[in-house]
Amino acid sequence: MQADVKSVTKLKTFDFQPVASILLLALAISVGYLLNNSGYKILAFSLLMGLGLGYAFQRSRFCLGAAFRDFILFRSSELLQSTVLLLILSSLGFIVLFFYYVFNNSSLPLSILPFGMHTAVGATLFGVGMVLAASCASGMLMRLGEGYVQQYGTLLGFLVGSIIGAWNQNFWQPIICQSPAIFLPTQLGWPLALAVHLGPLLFLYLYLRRLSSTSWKYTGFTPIRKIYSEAWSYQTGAIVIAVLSTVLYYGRGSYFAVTTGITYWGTWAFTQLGGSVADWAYYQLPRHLNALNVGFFLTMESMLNFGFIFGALISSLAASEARLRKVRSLKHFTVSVAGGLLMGYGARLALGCNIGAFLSSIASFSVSGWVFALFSFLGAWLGIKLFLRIFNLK
Amino acid sequence: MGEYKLDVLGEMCPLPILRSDKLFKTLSPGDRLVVVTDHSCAMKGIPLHFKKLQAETQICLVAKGIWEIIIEKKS
Repeated sequence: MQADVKSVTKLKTFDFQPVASILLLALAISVGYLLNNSGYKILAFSLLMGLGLGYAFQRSRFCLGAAFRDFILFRSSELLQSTVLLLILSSLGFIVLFFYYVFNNSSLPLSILPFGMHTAVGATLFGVGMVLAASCASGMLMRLGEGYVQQYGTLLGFLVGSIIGAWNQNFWQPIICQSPAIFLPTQLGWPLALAVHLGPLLFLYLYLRRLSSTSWKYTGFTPIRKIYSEAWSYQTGAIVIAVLSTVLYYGRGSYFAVTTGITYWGTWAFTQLGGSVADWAYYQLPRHLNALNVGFFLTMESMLNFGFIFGALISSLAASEARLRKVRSLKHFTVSVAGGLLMGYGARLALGCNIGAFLSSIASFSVSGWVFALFSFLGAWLGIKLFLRIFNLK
Repeated sequence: MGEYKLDVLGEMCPLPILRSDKLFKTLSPGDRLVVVTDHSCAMKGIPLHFKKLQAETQICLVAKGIWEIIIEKKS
């Protein structure tokens, strides 16, 4: 695991946090059970998968927002390397799913995002936002669970940003509709698609591994205690997240995504305040229209996000790490709100965040994922320039 | 052989690493830097960063969700 951790002193006094984590887990599972028995199978499934993903993200400190940022800022390659590993494993998971469906004479429901101007602008804004907010969308959910008050500011910004983004779809929709959506295997055939897709990923992985100071070694059987009380390595995180997101895709027929759920929350708040979304192009789309009708919280997107937040909280409690983390200053808070705003708006243009538009898109052999990656890298670079200036560093 | 304390409570990545890196550069060999953080990612990111600078690091969970990362400058 982490060779450089000499000792982690454990608290000697009685600890209620692990107890609370077990109680919360039991509560979450009961809610899932109730949902399942009330006919909401897909909601129950999303909730449980969210729990697992949130747990894995928190335990391994997997932060997609930091992958690009720390590479640019510190030439730190560990997290980026594991992100590439996550992309490779998720792609393999996707291939398994795809051919599983082929052999069963059906086809995997694909969601290949169109890419174009909207991806470039959206991903760049998202990249800037994730540096300012110190986390991307998934990281934000994880830290909401861990108790960072500052991230509630990010959420506020994110909600507002995604409402503006959804409202602005009236302007962007024509552009998005004219953009190409390319699924590499249909364009190139599977052999060439595999080479074009996995080739660069493998190259990147090996290149980053050479830069990295730590190498992953099998250290024998992992004691059970380590699963809940210590930080996992990024690689372990990548493996678990890849498996869970593939299972999620299989179980609900649509890939792992985060921001649509957050947009529903934002719209819910907006309608509660008296706003109307009747003439929004975004809510004319059948999928979103359905969310509007069934209620924003009774969607699988919402449930997955709730599960994610609770999973992170449970993980954090199990290791006695949960606490209400106070905001350092108004400046920190404001910068986070601004970051959330940019991410929320950017994610609506780019049709997703680091999860939907980047991880899941690349894993589904969609060209849009690569375009998103390129521009969010650019955005992260710009974001760092801005961030260092705001905090008078360097 | 001085010991310096850096309080980055409430700060999130990349601030804890940036601030400790800045202070670390001013230290002399043998000095120790103790970074106090409540950021769960920093307790992983800081040791990883300083390992590259050939420094010894040690992590202690001093209270629920608060870590002290002790960084010793070698040369």
